[in-house]
Amino acid sequence: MRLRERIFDFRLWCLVFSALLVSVALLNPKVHTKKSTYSFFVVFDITQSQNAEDMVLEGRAVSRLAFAKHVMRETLRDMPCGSSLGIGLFASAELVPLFKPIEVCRNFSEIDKVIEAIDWRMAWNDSSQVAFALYSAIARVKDWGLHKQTRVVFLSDGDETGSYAIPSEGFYVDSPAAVDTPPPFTLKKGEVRGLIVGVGGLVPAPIPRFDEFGKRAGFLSSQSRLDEKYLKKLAAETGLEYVRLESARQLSSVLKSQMFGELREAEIDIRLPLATAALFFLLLGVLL
Amino acid sequence: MILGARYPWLLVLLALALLPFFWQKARAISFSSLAIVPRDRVSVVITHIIRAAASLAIASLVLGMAGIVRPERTVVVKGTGAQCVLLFDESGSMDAKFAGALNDETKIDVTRQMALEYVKKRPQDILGIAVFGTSAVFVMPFTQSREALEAAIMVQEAKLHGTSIDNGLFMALSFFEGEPLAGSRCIIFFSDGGSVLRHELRDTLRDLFRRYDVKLYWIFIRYEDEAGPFDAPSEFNLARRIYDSLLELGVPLKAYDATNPGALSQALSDIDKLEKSVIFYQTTASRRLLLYLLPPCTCVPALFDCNQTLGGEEMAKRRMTVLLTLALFLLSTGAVIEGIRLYRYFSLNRAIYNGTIVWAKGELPPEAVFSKAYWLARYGHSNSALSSLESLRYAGRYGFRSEVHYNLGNLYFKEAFKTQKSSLLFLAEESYREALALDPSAYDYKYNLAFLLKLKRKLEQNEEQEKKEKSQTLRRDKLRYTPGFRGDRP
Repeated sequence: MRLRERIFDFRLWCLVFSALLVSVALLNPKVHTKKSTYSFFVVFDITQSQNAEDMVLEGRAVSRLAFAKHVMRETLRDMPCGSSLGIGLFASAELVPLFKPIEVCRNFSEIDKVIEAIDWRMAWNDSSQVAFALYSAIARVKDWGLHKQTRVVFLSDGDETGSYAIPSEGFYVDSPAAVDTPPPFTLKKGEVRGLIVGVGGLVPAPIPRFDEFGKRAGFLSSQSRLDEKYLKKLAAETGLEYVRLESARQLSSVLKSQMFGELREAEIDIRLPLATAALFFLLLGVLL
Repeated sequence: MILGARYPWLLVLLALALLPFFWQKARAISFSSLAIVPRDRVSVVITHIIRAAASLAIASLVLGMAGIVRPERTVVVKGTGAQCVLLFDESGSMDAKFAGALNDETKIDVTRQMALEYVKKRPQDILGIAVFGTSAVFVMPFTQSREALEAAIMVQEAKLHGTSIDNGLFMALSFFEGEPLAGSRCIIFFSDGGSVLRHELRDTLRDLFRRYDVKLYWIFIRYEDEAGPFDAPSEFNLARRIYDSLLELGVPLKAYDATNPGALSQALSDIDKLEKSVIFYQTTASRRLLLYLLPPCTCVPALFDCNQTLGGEEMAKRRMTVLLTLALFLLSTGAVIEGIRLYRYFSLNRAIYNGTIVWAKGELPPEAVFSKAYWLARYGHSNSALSSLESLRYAGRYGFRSEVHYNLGNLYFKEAFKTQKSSLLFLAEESYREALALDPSAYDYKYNLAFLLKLKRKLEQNEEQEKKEKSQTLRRDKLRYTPGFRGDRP
């Protein structure tokens, strides 16, 4: 009689069902859906104007390069697994790719260390030809055959200085101090998509000078500011978007917006809903 | 072990685990009179156990939902391999045709191929990548990720101006700074000439090579008609001049003159043969969800039912079951605790045996510190070994302490030989004497001490002789420059 009484008791069934749910959760079933992942080729400007200290980080004035590095490291932490990131540097008119986009979760510490190590002392030349560097970053992504998924993220202050290079010809001509029209873009516009990120303040700031031992020695004669007008022209020429860098969160949200993401097959974890249901039935069984 | 949670705010639900203790559940049982139902102690205990089980089940479910994880941690693994930096010369000249090109490959193409081959052939090596022109660029930190290394090597081009070999070497050496010694270390340096090392930087470079204990493999990649490093020196033979300047560094160096791809693979297989020492590397064990606590706990309340009063024979049966379960539970808890302790000892012993003890941190028993010092000394880190041993000076019993002092003496003695410092000899002597005081019968100690004393006496004699000679020359000098005496005349 007691047995029958028990079998028809709904509380027992609640407990059994709860245990069942937990066992299913323990088997860790996976449900397939689509999830956004990203692929970026990030280019850092390591020319001298990036040393101008007109950015603010945690209440301290820091250089544009330091700010850009900080922001990219934060963004890296924010990228979902399955995304990939590559890094390039530019000074003068050359772009030096460090590595192609690689998966961010497996190679997290490697990418993070590389970004941390970027330094203006790595620059091989003092001049800065933003347009050529941007064009070759785009060309590089296309050469690698990654133009369908990889977006270029180009961090610069738009400071075109010094001599004007024609890299394909291998020679340099002196140009007027300020260049305000970009050279013609020869590749197909909009084929490689991406984002130009303006780093720097809108008010001209002095550029620190360093002696050969890396000690600060006053400032360079010219001042530099974020040349948004020029960068916007570059964006129009190449079909990229432009945004001014304000914070890590802002850049991260722009980069994670729909236009940069790509839907890919991904697995989601359903253990949490299963465990929640199990908890519900357990409470029913124990308390009622 | 510090635990983390994926959704820490869910831990608030832990309060639910208290509910079974306060929420009295009453089930209707028909009895003619409540007064005749006896108050039974066993039933009360069972009730408490069941409530505790229910509470535990709720708590563990909540913990599981919050995603209690053991955070990622680094694990030390042992294998064979080396820890090397691949250093590429990326000056514009590397874009020229390679001497042994089959289909118009440039020098940088060949370099890339070689590096890729190396990465594939030696999967356990920890590699970093740096490149240089006039300035040096940090490309990839030490890693074992072949994906990252290949992605970096594949995109290397010769686009930098100028060649500053010393900048490149400084950058490559900086990779080893603060890096724990993992195995044998090297820099594999691909270049095509450029400039010789700057003379004023030579000493600094040499010091760094010695400090980090790094070998240098130089692979010279040349043009069609260029002279190589092993050809006769001449004004135009830049390769030979660079080779000589590298030789002058006085660091372990092996140079290769690559005239065709075959020669390149020869260099590779050489390195392969030489760099076969034991390597320790760290890998990250990913974080783990600790959900496996759950099922036994949830099953408990499902098996029992709550709050019943029992009597008569059934009560006796239940009492037996409860006592047996309790005993079983206590026994298994004891067994588990003992098992954990045994496992700890076991892993410590294993670490002592295979040398991974070098990586151990935190408080260790004196014997473990002793073996750590032994392995450190064996891997050539005599300073760290010495400091580990010094910390043991007053630990353990007489026998152990005498061993400590004896080893200290040996290490100091060795160091004294290496650095030629007589102060270290004194330290060694003192240590031997202390060891002997603790264990006067040890023959080894006596032998070493005697040897040391003999050596010391010899040194002292030498010194005296030198002093005498010096004073003689002094006297002669004095003579020469004292007014009135002319020493310079025939």
